[in-house]
Amino acid sequence: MTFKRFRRLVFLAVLFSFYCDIPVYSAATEDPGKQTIYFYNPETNINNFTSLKIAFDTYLGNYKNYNFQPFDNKQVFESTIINHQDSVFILSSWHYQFLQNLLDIKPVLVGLDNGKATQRKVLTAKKFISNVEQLRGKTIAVSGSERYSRSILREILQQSHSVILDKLTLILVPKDIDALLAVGFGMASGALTNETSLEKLKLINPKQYSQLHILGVSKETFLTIVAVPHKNSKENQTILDILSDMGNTEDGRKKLNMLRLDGWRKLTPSETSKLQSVQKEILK
Amino acid sequence: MTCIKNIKIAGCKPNKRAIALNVLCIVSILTALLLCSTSLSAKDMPGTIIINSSSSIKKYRLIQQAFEKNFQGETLNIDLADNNAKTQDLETILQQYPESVIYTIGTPAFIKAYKTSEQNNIIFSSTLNWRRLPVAENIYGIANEPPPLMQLTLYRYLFPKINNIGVIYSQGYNREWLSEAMSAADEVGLTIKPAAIENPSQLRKALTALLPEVDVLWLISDPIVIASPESAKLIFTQSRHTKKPIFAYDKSFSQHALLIISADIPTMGQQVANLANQLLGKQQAPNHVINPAGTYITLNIKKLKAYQIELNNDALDSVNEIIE
Repeated sequence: MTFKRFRRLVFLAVLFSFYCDIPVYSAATEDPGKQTIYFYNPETNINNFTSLKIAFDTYLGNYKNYNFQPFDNKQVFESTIINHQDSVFILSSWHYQFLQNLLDIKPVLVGLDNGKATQRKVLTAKKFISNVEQLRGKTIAVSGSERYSRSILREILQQSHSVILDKLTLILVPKDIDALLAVGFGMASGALTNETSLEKLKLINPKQYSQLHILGVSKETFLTIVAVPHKNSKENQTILDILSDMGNTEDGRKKLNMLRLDGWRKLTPSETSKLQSVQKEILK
Repeated sequence: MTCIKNIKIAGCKPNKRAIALNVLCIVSILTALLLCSTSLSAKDMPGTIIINSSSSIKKYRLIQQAFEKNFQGETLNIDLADNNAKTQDLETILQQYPESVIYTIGTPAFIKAYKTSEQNNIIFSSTLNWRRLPVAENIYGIANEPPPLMQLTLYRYLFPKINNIGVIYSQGYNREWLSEAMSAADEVGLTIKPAAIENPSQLRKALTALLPEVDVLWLISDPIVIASPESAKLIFTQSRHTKKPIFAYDKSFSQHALLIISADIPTMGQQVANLANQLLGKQQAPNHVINPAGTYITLNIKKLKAYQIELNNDALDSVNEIIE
């Protein structure tokens, strides 16, 4: 064997060894050996992922080696979970309706907020804006992703006013109360928020609340849900039991408060069917 | 060119005239390329010239990224910290594009732009005490902090049992702000107890008199109050001794303050981009200086437990960052 050939062989051997040792990194940077609960919610813009992860990892650490992985990017979330379909997912019920085409998963738990499992979104504006036509060309403050927010606005504005949607500028703010106050301060002409957030504003700032009125309301939709594979595992069932129990302890409730919830309950069969019927919305 | 071609194919001898012509061609091409690299045609005029005081500062970099994500047009970026040809020749660049909007990030960038250009519309962000900036028809901007009413509404939301809020301020810098804050406090059922100081030496006496009278101290951006690191240390020490928590405005105080409310940077970047789009579309901006529409909330759980403050747990979904 010539030295040149020997050198080439050594190079190839080194290259091969690197290839074998290269770990598979996912965007989740999860700990190997730990079961992961994946979370993504387009209904909120609040960037509290570090605190969420620490809080939930700490809580789940009381039980076993579980890992909570929040995402702030839809594409990264979807491309990650494609390779982890046997896991537990905490999702927006809106997003689930599209994900069920991608993954073989079923919803099992729904979040609760003061005993309610559903929510409505409201479009509010100052009282001098008496109808949605006057919002044409204006700015709407929203606390969800652009895609999610336009989907809800399309539903609220309905066919008769769908042209207005194209002319709206959305400003994405971290939370509902920011959106409502933005209208009060004139940074936006309207706000899309949860109905309950408007009720909270009534308590904390009655004057700001009195300046607003509701222009439109969405249908009732479920709060955040927990979904698992159709062929659920014993390990996933244990996680479901842990999550279900969160609302029964003060510590668990505080963690859930970070998700705007205070408990979970099982979905009924009719609720599950309702969630699984695909909404044929064409999103821009 | 014909002769060069002939040299390759047929090996003919070049004459001096042909060589001179070829050299002239090459020089012309190079000159044209050079001009193209340093100037843009009218068609390529940047909608916005971004002047960043220093993109190595994280919050300045983040707001620029948020702006670029939302702005509908071309940008020309200048980082003053780079000190390269672009920063040195800023005046020439701005003269080339009188129709462009100038977006300045940080006070040094604003001052540079303000002194260099008279005709461009200028939008500022990331400046403390914007009220001290020169006001003119072509100046627009976004305040660096959420308005007092927004902050007080959030204080009320998070801590329902807190009623009296102390504020130490200087008349010269914050008289108007305090007036606005006191009206806002009425609106949410809170009381502000102010203590005015004229120079930093009065800080200790003001703290001693004020802290026993209030539930919390609201630390505001005031160069007379926080005149030095020693002033800040005095405030934190006194508040700890009297067991009075602090509300603050910047994450640099996160180890000492119970709560920090600052403006949400991505939202501000969006707002500035919308303002730039409006100005370039010849639409009238409703206000020259706008308020940030989003807030970033940091909660220190250690301080919460130490001072035994009651937190509205329902509001936890509004907290961006929890320090434990």
